[in-house]
Amino acid sequence: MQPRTKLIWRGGCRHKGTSTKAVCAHPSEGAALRRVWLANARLVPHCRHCAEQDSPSPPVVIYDGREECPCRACFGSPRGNLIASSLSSQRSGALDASPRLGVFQSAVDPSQSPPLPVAVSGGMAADTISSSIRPLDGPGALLRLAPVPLFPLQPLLGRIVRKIAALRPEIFDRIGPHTAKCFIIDPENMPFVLVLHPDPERPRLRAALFFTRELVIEGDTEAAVCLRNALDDLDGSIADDIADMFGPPGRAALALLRRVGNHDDGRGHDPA
Amino acid sequence: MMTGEDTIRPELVCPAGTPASLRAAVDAGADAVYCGFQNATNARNFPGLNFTLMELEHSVAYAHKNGAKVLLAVNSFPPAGQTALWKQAVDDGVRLGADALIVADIGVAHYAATHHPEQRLHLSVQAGAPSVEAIRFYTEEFGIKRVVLPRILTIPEIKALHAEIGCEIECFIFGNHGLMAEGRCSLTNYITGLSTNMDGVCSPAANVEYIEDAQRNLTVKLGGFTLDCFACGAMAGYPTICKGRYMAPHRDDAYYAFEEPLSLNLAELLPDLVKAGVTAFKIEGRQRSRAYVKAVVTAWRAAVDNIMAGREPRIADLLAFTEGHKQTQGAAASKRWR
Amino acid sequence: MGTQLTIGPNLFHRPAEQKRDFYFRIADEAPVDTVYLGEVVCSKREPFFAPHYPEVAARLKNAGKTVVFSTLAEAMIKRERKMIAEICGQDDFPVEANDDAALYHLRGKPHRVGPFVNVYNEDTLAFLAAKGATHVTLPQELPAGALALLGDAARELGVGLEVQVHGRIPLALSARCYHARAHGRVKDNCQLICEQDPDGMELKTLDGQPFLIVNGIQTLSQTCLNLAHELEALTGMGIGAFRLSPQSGDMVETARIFRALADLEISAEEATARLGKTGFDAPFSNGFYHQREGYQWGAAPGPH
Repeated sequence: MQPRTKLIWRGGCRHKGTSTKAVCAHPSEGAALRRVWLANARLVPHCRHCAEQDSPSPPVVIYDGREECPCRACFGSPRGNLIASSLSSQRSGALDASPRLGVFQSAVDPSQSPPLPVAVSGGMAADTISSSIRPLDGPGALLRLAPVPLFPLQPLLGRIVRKIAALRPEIFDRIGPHTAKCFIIDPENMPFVLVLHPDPERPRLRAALFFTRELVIEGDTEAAVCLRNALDDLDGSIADDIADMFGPPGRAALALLRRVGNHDDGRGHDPA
Repeated sequence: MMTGEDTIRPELVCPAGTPASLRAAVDAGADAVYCGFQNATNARNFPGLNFTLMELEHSVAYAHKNGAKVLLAVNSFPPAGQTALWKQAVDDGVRLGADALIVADIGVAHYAATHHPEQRLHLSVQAGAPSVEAIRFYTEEFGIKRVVLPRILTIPEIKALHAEIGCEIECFIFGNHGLMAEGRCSLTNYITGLSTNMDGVCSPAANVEYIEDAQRNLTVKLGGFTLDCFACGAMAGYPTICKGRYMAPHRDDAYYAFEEPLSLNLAELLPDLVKAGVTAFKIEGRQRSRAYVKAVVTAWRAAVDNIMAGREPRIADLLAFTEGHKQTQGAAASKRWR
Repeated sequence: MGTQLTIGPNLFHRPAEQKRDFYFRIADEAPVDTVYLGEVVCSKREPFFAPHYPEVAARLKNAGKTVVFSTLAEAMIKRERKMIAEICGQDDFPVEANDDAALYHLRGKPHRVGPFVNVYNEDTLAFLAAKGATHVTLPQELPAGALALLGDAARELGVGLEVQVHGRIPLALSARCYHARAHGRVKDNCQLICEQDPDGMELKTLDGQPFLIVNGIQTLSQTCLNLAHELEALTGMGIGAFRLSPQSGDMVETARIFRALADLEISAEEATARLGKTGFDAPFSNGFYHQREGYQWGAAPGPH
């Protein structure tokens, strides 16, 4: 019997003006672990509106738990923050019409004890940031973090994961029996998650947004640990590579984030 | 402060959970790295961790090219009927050029000593040999050249030991602070059915659960037993039985019955350790991230070099790495710890 | 040779007179073949009972019991090493080695090996036999498969094997005293607080589930091992001696039950029923034997 790890996870809907921090944004290892879930994981819609959606597979929901579900307001709207695809259907994520560009970073606590899954960026182990980076609180935080538009991201993520798969096929050996599973990876301080299928034949990595108030996800700790160890075996500064893919704005954003990280880290520990 | 005349430069022995970590450690200045195969033959048998034969071969080449040694851990205990796997690990380690094998089981030590008499053998902390006589048992019977001491001895004890045993001493100086007598702990097996001593697992991930309630309190369980609970915001580590919090009949509070999650950090005691005769310093952490290894080894490389040159090491830098951000010097500083 | 029953070394700290009376009763009434004396857990307890060794050993010997001295499981300081050396150096009684220091001293002469030495496989067994081990009590976490193979190997080597079949299971040892710690002390100033818990101090999890037992530097199972249902299989494997670990409850009755079971006078079910009434209140477990979680109790093998 696989042990289940349950998380009841809260976020908010941007439309409602609450922070879209869909995570308990604490720079702790436990928090990082909570966010790497195996999604064989049913995301349980509690919103009756979403439940009524007439779609072949329900979207990964993000609903507000209140009577008025913002999903209905945003579903299908080009200005909306649509949720990602369903885990089973692979529909791609939504548009955020904002032209802001950003980059993602991992949130690995360098002092973590026996393996904790890493909250990864782009599906790869990136440079670590000191765990003492405190989340930037408040609704304004997202603007400062300059979140990415998901739509242009998807092909990039696809390219990244296929490149890694080509360069380092032994990663799949390390992941072992868990390559058939699907992982939701949640970078800290980022208003979206990544969905990773580490299938050696057809690796897939997508971004997805979450705006949920209550979400129940169940997962397998062992697979998460295994993935983390496998990804940790990658060399090089993947964050730099990803930033390069975004061009100068990406590199600037990465530099900004690193400065932010340094600033928040009272110990002055250089994350690079 | 070191004067350098009668003191030899201690070896910095660093953990490598993956080939990338090994390269990171070597690049950061490790004198030796220790690692294991991807099976039950070593005491860090975590999913996705450790080395294949080919990876070890390449790693040995890389390390040697950069002037570092590779120590292969074959330090768990084969159950009856399964000794072939451990013997294979010994044979492979020798064949692939490991500079030393770290062993614990008497049968494995005997096999290595008789079949590969030229191979350098180190005694793992898993052998649990904290006394002169215990160590001599291994040096005399198997030709052990170095003993990794349990983390429970004071510096005067280490010094006294050094005077009486005929082999080198390797000491843990940094990392997870282990308390239970190594190699003789069945706590994990009691709760999960997997054995630390035979399967090389402590708190296997497959049996770990994190459960968050409506108030965002995080309960951490192993094998269905609650080991700890963290209020929202508190740092939640990976659960091990010996670092959990429990209730005792006469106490109102839940408390760390065995040990708090602390990290060992003997930076300030380095000069004393060298004077006591310690020839190698071991950093714990094969399950840590590559980035951690790189950062920690770099810092310790600098610390050791500083001490050998008579300068003060920058100890504050190491605080950030310690688990739970709390440190201990463990037994090394005084017996009060016991 | 028929199945032997043994009384293992007393792991807990009891008032000396109480221990003495216990051994007197064992001598007089218990159908056991061997009794292990000696302090295994904490050297600080030793001086209290040491004066009684001569009379207790004599009484046991006169009752036809073999007396064996067990050594400390964890020895670090000089005094402890000296204690071990002394016990290993005497020839009046056989010695059971519980750590490598004792093995060091006992090499070359006949001796016993206790469950705190990691004899997990046939190679280790053979090596120790070559050094003089004549009788080995195996670690409690070994599953049936390994026990069977060790039984085969022991038969070849002419070494006797013993397995604990009743009593709380030692799970871990430490240099730190957890009894002292629970009371805000350390080993040096413990004032032997462990004496107030005759069967060790129970630890519960945060949700109130009984979990482990603290006994000085030792951690034991909260459950009570009971291999009554496995006794026949163990005998078939060549395990010739069965250890009962002393604890509260009627140990003489416990011994009688296992004696009757070993002699096939009662069934395992009846034995278990009667064992439940000896006055020691803890759930039974036999998980290790069946390669399951140690705390489990049942007959079926686990999913491994």
